Amino acid sequence: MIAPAYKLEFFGDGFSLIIALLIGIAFGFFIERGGLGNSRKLAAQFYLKDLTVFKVMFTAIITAMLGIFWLGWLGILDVTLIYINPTYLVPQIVGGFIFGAGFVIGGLCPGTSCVALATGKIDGIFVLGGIFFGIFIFGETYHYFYNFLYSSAAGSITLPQVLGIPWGIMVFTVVMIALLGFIGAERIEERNAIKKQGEK
Amino acid sequence: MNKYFRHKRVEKIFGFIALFLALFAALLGDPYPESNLQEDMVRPLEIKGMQVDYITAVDLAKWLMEKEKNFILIDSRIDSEFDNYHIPSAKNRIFFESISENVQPDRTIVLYSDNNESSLEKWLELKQGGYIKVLLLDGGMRSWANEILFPDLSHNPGLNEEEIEKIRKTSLYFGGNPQLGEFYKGKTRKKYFREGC
Repeated sequence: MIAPAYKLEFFGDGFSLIIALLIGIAFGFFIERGGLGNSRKLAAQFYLKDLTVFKVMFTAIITAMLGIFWLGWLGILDVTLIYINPTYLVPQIVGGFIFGAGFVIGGLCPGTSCVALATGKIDGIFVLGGIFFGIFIFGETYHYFYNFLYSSAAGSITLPQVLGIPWGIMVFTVVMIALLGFIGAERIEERNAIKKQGEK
Repeated sequence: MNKYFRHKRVEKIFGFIALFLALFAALLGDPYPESNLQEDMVRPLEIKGMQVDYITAVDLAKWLMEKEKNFILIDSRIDSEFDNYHIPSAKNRIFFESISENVQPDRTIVLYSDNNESSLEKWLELKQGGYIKVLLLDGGMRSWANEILFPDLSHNPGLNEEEIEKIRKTSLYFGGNPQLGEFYKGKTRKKYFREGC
């Protein structure tokens, strides 16, 4: 086992921060090159005109998922050491809606707002300002929401555990959903493009 | 137009690679299910006539709160995780390496790790080193976190107030944060502040 390298103590906190910085730069670079620093492109997702976000996100999910599965199987990655974010179902669903609403209104999510800001887009400054304002308000009112935030706790669960199916079957299912989703997304985009031409 | 089709071809190739890898993943099923891992380790021990003894997180908490001195608690996780958090009074892996010099074989040893599987190897090492009473913390740190530090009682109306109060006190004793919800009506309810992300 050589990964996760940080948890296996191959390097310390300082070096891990350098790696985090490099990953962050690469993440921002590919987001920008994918065109996701443009709020119009992102907002077009919700009007089914441009499904780049869906395709990029789902590609990232299945790439990471297949990578973790196969690196684990090859004995390179110790899967049991990977941190799994605990599930608080109801608060996370509510959080998802708030996040989604902000995404539609601002046209950017936290990652892409940083990319937009770095490429000099003015809306990026406002979205990032809104994020920090929201963080501040949440921090100051945290204790009022405490009971709700920690309600419906389900622990660090994964889909194979909840559904009681083998991990590999879950990987296959998600990849199939993604591939069919990509085909569907392309068709929706083509149809909307034809409509647009027809309108002209 | 030509460029468009070449672009699509790359996408299709990646799509087929993903499909291929996913198909083989489905055939492999579960490469390392936790339960099988434990069975694989426990079975040879049982064949040798060795019975694994466990202690629950609640019993361990009771021993610690009652300042029970007749046992030694050992954390067998890696150093960074130990430094991050460990059960009070637990010794780290450095202590474990030199245990034969410091601990008599008749002392009770409680061993824990992230879960049961990862501490079984150390348990066997101690047993083979001549230690008679070696207990594993059942469920490891995961149980300690779920049952002692952050017990979720908000959806557990089956407990009476006395039991809830006991769980709350134990959690607070170890610096935990019990989730009591509406079932707790106590007056000394702690006011919570933010914990970070």
